[in-house]
Amino acid sequence: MLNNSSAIIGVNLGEVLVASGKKVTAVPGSLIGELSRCVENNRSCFYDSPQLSSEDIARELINAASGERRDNTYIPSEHDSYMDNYIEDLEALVRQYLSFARGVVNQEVNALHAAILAATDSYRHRAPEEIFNVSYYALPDVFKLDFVQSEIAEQAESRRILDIGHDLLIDPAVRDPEDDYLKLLSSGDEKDDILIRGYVDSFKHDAIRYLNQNVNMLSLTLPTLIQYNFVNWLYYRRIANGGSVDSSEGLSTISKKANHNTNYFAAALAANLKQYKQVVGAGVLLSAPVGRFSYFSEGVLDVCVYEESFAKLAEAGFGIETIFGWISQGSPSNVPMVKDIISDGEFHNKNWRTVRNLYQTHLNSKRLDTFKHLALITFEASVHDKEALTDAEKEIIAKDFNYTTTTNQMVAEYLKNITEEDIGCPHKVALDIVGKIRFRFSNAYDILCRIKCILDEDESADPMYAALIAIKGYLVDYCLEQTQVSTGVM
Amino acid sequence: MSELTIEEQESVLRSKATRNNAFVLSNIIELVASVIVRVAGHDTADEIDGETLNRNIVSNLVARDIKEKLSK
Repeated sequence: MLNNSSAIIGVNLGEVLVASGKKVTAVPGSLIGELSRCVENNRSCFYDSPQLSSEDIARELINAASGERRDNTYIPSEHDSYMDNYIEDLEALVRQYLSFARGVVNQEVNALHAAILAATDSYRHRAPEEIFNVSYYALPDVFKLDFVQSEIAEQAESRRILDIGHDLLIDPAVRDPEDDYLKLLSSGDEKDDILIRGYVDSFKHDAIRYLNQNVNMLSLTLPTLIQYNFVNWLYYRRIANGGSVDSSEGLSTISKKANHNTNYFAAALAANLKQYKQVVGAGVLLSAPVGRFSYFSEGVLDVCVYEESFAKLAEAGFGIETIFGWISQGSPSNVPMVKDIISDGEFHNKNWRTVRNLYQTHLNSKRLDTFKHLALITFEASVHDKEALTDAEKEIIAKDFNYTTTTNQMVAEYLKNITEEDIGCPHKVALDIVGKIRFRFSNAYDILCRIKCILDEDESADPMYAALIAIKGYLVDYCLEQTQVSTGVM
Repeated sequence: MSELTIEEQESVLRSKATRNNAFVLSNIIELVASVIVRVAGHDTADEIDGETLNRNIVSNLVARDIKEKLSK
């Protein structure tokens, strides 16, 4: 039987093809061939008339395909038998194909995709900017507190005490930064202590070290020197003001040491703050020399930028990349001035772009090789365990002992030829490896690729809808393979 | 056919050619649309999951596919 819509649509399409000079015939003996023959053979249904419309032709086809009505009984035609059987058989086959493609193969694709992502994640390569550990320094608000400003200022001119040095440190006996070490640094004012806590918390591990050990001052930059002197000043200030301390020394000795050290660290802090004002005023950009740059190095370069100087750089239209460009020129052993960076700003920007591109090229090539290697070992691991194989694969392997070896070779060959673009789409790589190679005995790859195309065009499409549209295309191709097209014939 | 004018003869030939093409095409459309409708689980499918995929729509989609592939 031919449905009315199939007939009229078929006739309309037939007319379009005739207009473009095309003739479609079915391959004799094929499925489509048999169906066409059943209709064609009923010659008595067809009339050659110049007045035939498309609807007339469609009606002829329907009549030619239909069975007979006798005494209220419908006797199926030959076409009915063929069509019903083919529909039933193809429906069962298509359900099998979809079930295998979506239920088995697609699960393996997703599993391999997840495994590749997990493997490559742990080999994440650094972005070019990650070579630098950038921090920005501005004088913290704690130095605006009244008592800090007034007491530090008192010691501003005390050069002599700095020459004398400080007494042996009184051990605060605090080792764990998670302890409430802030009680050792209390200013006596709760409100001020909140600001102090906020500042010291930002370097609390170092704060403990500054209180517990003799620190090599030459290893400290100006910002860290300020931290060191600040915590020690507060510590001894609290003791000098009568705060408790766990020490075997006499009270008078403790008081003398605490007073001396308070004045010492206040004087040191005053000198630091004066120096800070001078360097940012002069336009010094970094707090310390950076060290040798190499993008092949595994290390990280610490770059501490004075915020006030950076603001001047930004006003001139330059940014952190300009500083990167200056650093990557060679081995800068000094610290740059803002005016020097600005005067060659475009050159430094261009330098960074060149270095960055070189690094990116090196990175991409490394990434591609790493991806290929990881994808291969991940795939081989996924099929190594025989129990992990599907029943369908076990059947194939039972007939072809070399199937797995050949599969692994094909995957290695495939991965050899993938490009940078491919590793940007690891799911496609997994689909190719699993669908096209591992399950090459099935049509799952064809079906899954069709589904993927539909879902790529419309992300909101229902997966079952996408599967049906994919199968429609698959079946049309299957049917057209049973036809021949000739041109220039009417 | 010799009693027909030239235009009428051409019309007859066109109709025959159309019919010959339609033998094949209508069967492909009927077969594929029927299978899709049955796999979708609706014998007279009106809608599938909110998408309008009834027999008529599927038949037209199949025809469009055939036209695209035969135009290449």
